[in-house]
Amino acid sequence: MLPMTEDRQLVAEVLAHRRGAFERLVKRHQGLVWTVAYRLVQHPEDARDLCQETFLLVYRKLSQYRGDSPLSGWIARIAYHLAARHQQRKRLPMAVMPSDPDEAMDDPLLKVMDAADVESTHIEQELQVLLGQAIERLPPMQGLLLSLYHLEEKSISEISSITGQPEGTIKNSLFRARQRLRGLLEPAMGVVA
Amino acid sequence: MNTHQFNSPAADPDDLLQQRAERLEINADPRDPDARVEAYRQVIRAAGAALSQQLPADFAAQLARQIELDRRELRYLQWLCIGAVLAASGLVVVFSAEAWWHPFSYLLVPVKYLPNIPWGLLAATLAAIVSVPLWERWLGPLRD
Repeated sequence: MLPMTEDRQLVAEVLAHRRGAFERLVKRHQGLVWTVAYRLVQHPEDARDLCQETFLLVYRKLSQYRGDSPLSGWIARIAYHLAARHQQRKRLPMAVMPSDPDEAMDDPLLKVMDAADVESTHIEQELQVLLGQAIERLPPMQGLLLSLYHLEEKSISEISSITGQPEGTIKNSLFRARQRLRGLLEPAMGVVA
Repeated sequence: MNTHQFNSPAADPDDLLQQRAERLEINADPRDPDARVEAYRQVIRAAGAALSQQLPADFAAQLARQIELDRRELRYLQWLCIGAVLAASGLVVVFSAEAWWHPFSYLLVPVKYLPNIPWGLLAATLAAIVSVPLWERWLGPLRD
């Protein structure tokens, strides 16, 4: 069955209060909602509350879903707006870059990589963990864009529709984020920039 | 692995390296001799890895349960309101029976066979109201 047809079918079941339908809907989309909420607010408890708030709102507004776009995008947009409002209330920046580009994600990665033998699987795993930590310390918006693109496998136009940002801005942010992260790997890998 | 391709800021030479790294990752190709491309592959792999924190495993079940409870509570309140209105209407009807019942009863049956109709009507109304939750249980959940 096509994903859009599946979406419409599932929505119809939830609206008919079919047993287990809403739980299936949550299970199907909770990963994406968690990615949006956690990347933006960067706090597990707040992100969990936002996920709950998102799905409660989805339940109340589900009759407004027209089925002309993927349900995942519709739900992710709701999650994004709730998380953005949460950040605004707390007056936390979403897209501000740190004054020193390396300040936000400096030491641990470089320390490990000084003596790193990148051929080794063990070191590669360690690099992945530390790169993951470096991504968590990126400005929230950059971390979110990286995760939506690489983890959730959303296209640039889908990400644009979720975040409301122009496609060019998203491409540029993704490019800069990857460039910054690669900059951290260079000392260990002996890359000449 | 995301297979959507896009052209990022083309003026930067790094753009080609990123695109190459992405292609190699998508195809799970062997190592590239260019260390810069390999570094980008590491970055792409890390960006595609699951987040360090996750929602609890029973998140969906808990949420569905909570919504079902809220829905039942709301439904119960709705029925309570309907019941209160019905009861009030019933009382009005019963206590004004003196005025309307006698002329009306002559149209149906002789009144002498139905001496306690006002109280019977009240009892029937109250029974209907009390049994509302039972109807819902038997008939299944009603649409919003």
